[in-house]
Amino acid sequence: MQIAFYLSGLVAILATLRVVTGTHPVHALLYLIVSLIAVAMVFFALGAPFAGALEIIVYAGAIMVLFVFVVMMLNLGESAVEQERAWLQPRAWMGPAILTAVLLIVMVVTLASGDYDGSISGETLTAKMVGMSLFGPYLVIVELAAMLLLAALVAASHLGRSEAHDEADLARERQRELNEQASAVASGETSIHTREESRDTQEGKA
Amino acid sequence: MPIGDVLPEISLTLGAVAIVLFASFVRQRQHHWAAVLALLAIGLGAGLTVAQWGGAPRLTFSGVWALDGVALASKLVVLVAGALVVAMSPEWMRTDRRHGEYYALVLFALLGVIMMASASDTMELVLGVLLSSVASYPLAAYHRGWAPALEAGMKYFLIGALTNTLLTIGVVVLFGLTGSTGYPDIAQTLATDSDRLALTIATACVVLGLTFKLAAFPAHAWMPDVAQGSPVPAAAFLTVIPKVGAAVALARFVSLLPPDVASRAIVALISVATMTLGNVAALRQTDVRRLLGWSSVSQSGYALMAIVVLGVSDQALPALVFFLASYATANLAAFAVVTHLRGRTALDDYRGLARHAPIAATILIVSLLSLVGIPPLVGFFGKLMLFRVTLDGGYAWLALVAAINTVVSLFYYLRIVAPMMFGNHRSAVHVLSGQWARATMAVAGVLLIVGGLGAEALSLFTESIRFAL
Repeated sequence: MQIAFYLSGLVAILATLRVVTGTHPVHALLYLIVSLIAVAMVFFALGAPFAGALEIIVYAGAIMVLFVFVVMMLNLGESAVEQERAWLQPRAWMGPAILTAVLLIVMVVTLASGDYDGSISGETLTAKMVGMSLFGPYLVIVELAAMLLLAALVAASHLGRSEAHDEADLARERQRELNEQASAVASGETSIHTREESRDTQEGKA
Repeated sequence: MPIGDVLPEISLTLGAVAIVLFASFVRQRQHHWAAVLALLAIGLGAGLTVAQWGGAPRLTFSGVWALDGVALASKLVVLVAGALVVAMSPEWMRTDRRHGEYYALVLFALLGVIMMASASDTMELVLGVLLSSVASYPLAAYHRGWAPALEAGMKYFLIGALTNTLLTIGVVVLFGLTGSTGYPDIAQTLATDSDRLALTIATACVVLGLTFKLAAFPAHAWMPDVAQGSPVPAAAFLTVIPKVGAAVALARFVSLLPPDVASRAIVALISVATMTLGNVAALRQTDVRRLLGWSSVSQSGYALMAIVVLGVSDQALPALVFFLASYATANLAAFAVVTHLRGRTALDDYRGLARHAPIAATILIVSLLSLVGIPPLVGFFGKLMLFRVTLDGGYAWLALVAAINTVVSLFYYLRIVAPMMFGNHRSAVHVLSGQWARATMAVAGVLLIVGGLGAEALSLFTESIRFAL
């Protein structure tokens, strides 16, 4: 498993480097997908297959495909490549690079001085165990999280809807009511009395 | 799976889902029937809660859900308050193009508040706060075409996003310290030994996260804007109901902490700052709804007094629940009157109200006096119990500050009453047509007086409540 860990870790680093240095957005995105899959492999090697599977499904699968579509819809051309190249000047990446280097030094020193022997251990956390705890002790919380999502959906649909849309809906509804009344009148089922009522309501609306 | 333990919550959930479906398929003109559905769900929930009353305090669902006197009592307060809010809404909301969903959101928010009050697990606390917040943001901005409502909703949302993040950070740090999310495990681990600095940080984060729902300092800034700009029934909801859940959740959380963490000092400081700030800001208000918002901030400060003496005085929890119930009744009565008067907000518009609308004026005056704590109204007994437990717990200085604040608050409540009684109004008083708001106003007013007269009997029910932990 150690070979798998170090190999996929290396792939993740190289792919991420290409994401940063690549000037073509779509190519960079493809490398990002490779990087995420490599990180998922790292999870597998560490004995967390469930986290690895989630990483592939959620990040590489859902979010990255969304990114690809957005980039394609933006239709970035040669100018974007030029701009990316211009952004790759040292003054743009020097600051983050220095800060990251500090972190790297800290990690190397910690690894070198600590009692860590380089081996990887840990018990495997399977999807079954995650499911058992989700639907065991956390059952109420999971169910209520579903309610949270539903409430958020209702909230978003209320606040996100345009006023004009609502007006149109309402007008259509009123029109349909009028049509129903009119057809009822036409079919001769209504007495004079109800016909007068319906005229009253029409005038009231006007 | 002990389904029977969460029947009230299931009834709220089913009610909310039914209303969402109802509102999607029914014409706008029939949407007010959603209010009836919501009342049915709340009534069923309250009935099922009463049926749970009397059992021994215990934790259920693997210890994440508390079923004790405090949770049940606050659940009842929340449900009754929710029913009053729903009942005052139909006429106000009638003109909104999509008001069916309003009732579903109210039910969702009620569910979140109940979760907060019953949570015996930090993850559940976070979810409860999130559920009640997410359902409340659109309530505050329900009339989304109206700029003040949008501003209130936006403020509420921004402060909420920040404090909810803080709450989550606190919970994560706590998990890092103790390795568990359940309250029993956390209490056990903390009692033995843990990093005090990290624990203080976690406590501060969780307390700050809950001050948002309490509208206590330093996350109180949304309250006056919501009271002024939101639809009045929504403002009534937001000034009262989240507070009940948050106060109980805070009490439950603070009771876990070992005595050497400075949680008492933190809460006492917040309490003093909240009540003083709320009162000072309310002094110069000429806008009745905004004034009610600031008064609601200061009332949170009083409620926190009971949490300060938690564990020192054995009557702290009954005092807390009783005060919250009395505050909820009085504030809802005041907002029901404002709803009935079509949300008029400038102090000048209340001039001479006693002559033109005597019933509304009487109920408003009674509710304001109850907020001050004048006997024989129910607010008096709430405050009396609070002061008693604070003195019992040895926090005489806190009780003194609260007493001074109460005297100050009398001034600005009377500033509303005086023009109502003695002023002259030029034109007729416009009220909402229809009976819902009027009836709610009357019911809340009656509750204030009956609650005051029956306070002794009510306090017998609550005097033995305690946490299940």
